[in-house]
Amino acid sequence: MWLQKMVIKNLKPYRGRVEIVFGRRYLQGKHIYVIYGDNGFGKTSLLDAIYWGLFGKRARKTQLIFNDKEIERKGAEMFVELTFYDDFSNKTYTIFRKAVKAGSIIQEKLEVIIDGESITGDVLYKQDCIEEFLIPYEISKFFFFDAEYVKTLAREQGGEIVKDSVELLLGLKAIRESIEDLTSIKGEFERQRRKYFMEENNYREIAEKLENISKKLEMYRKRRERIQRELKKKREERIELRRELAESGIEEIKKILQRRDELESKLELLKEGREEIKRKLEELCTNIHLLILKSELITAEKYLENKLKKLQREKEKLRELSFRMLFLKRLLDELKCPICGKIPLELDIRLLSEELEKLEKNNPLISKELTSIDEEYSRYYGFYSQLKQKLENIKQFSTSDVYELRIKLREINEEINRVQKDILRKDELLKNIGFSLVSSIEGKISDLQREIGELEERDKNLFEKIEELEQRKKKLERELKRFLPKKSEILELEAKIDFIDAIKMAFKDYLDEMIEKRRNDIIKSSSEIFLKLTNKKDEYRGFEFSSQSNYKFQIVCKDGSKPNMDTISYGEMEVMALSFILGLNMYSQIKAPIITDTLFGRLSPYVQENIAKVFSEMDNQIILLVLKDDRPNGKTEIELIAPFFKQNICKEFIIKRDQIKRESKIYECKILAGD
Amino acid sequence: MPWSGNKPKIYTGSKGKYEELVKDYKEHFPSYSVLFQVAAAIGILLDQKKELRRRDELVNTYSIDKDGTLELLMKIKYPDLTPEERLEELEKYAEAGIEIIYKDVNLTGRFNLKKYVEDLNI
Repeated sequence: MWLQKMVIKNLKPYRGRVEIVFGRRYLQGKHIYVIYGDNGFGKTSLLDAIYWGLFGKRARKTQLIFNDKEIERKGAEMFVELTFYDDFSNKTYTIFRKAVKAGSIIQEKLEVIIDGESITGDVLYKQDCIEEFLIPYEISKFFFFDAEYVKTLAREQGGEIVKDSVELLLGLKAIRESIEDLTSIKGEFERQRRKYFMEENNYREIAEKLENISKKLEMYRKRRERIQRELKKKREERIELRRELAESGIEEIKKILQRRDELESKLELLKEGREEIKRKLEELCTNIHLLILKSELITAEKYLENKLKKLQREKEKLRELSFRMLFLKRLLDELKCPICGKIPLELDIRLLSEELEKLEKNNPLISKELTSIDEEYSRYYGFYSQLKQKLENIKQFSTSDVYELRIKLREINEEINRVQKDILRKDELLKNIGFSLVSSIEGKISDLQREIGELEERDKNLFEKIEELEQRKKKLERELKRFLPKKSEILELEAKIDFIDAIKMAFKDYLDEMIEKRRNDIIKSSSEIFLKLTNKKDEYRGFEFSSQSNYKFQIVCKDGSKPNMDTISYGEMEVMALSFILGLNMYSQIKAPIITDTLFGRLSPYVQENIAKVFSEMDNQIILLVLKDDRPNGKTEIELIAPFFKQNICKEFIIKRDQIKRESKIYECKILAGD
Repeated sequence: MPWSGNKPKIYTGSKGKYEELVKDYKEHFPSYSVLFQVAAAIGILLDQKKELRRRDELVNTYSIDKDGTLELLMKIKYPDLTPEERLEELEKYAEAGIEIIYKDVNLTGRFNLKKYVEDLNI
């Protein structure tokens, strides 16, 4: 795998876009690239850029590698673009990781392009692709490292720090994880089995409780039945008592009601009588004026009688006169008496004629007068007749009637009041009888009532207890069902646990075997490099580590002895750590670029030379970040060892710093290779 | 029988007294017609008449003197007057009569029929 190009923007001392083109693999058969820079110019930042580009914030905190000026700017962005070529799969991988400041947070974006085609999916998926196709994070520190990591490895003498990486590299991590998974599954099965055992115990306990409750329930039920029988008996007694008392009271009530009905009928009749009297009285009132006028009418009657007599007399007088005149007229006309037929004497005739003349002269309208007086008589006679009739009628309305009626009315009103009072008394009596009956009943049955109350209370308490026990019983029954012994499940679980144990054992055996086999391979290649690097080639045979010793490094002398590692010098430990890293690289299937940062500083010239020789022999891409004095013709860290790999240097770059603008730039140069 | 002639209404100048008496002595005077008849009878009995100072409608003519006694008496007293004139005379008697009753009632607190009816025992 070859890093072809690296583009960064706004990362640590680099402002704006900075591009380093390493080119295709084995350009003119050379595989070493050197990047020079003085302290603080940005060498380590390039290592940070590779880590962040490949693994994001898992490897480096984004805000710590953001250019400190740019990060203040709203909407500032930083990115790293790495382009690798993998000759094993013959594919080009471009990783583009970008960070954009949005408000107070920094949003990250990752793009993975394989042969020009962008991978779709979420960030986790893309990250998995990087670690699967390019390099896993745990392995990366054996490829991209600085002197500091070598020191740490030396200080720790291997151990825990290398365990994961070694196992991952050996492909054993997955097996170990599987064993852990199996252990976890087995633990789960064992827990389940324990639970079943506990449930079985619970089942026995619950069954015992249930039996006790059932016995108690049976006892309570029997007791309650007894109480209910007693209650029933008492209630029947109470009903019987009430019935007897009520029956004795009913006869009395019947009598009173009968009497009351009679009184009601009487009251009805009296009211009817009163209405009749009132009607008559009203009628009398309407005619009361006739009573007042009675004397006046009698006076009028007398007046009319006199009047009629007077008229009668006048009428008779006029009739006599009229008759005399008619007689005289006929006598004189016929000259003979109309009555006896005698012929009057002449003297008589003359006298009679004078008499007629005188009469006619004095009574010229006698016939009219006679008619008028007849009419008047008739009129007054009519009045008289009517008056008589009126007086006859008035006689019917004797004033005593008014008073009699009034007395009768008063009496009847009094009678009505009496009857009404009687009725009220009867009603009161009926009510009192009701009350007296109730009180007598209450008196007689109060004892029964009290007893019934007590029994009911006991019954209620028992009922509540039974209810409660039944609830508990139901609950326990439910629980019991839940805790039914699961014999078959337990057997099944035990079979599973045995099976898992067997698999685990097989995995462990395999793991041990594999570790043993591959460990020897790694130890062999690491020891070869160790012997190339160390200045004690004649004393040491190599070094080793094992899973039993938890990957702690151990030097092995030529005679097979193993010196105490605490007595080994720190410098030697660094050589051993570096040998381990390079040995692991050589053994690894992954052929990633080796990028070292200021590696040579503390190492002895002898070791430096040996490393240079080893690097020149390796076929990995090697990028050396090298300290160089920034002054013109300033020395470099690798000045002395350059001759050993000069012919393998492909390209050289130098980091320049503009201290006014506080920004670094990278330029291609020719410092060692050119000369 | 209805009063002859053509005078449909009976008038009075003492409507207030009628209202008061009918209200307070319902037992004796259940209606205006009854009170008018009694007042007219007392006026005739005591031969007292009074001119109406104002003419308020009291009752319908057909509601008084249903047996015709009053009309008969007025015919005897005033044979030469028309029925309408006789009714007016009767109104005058009643006007005097109501005055007497009102005074009497205010004086004694009760209507004393005994004073006017000869054979009244109580």
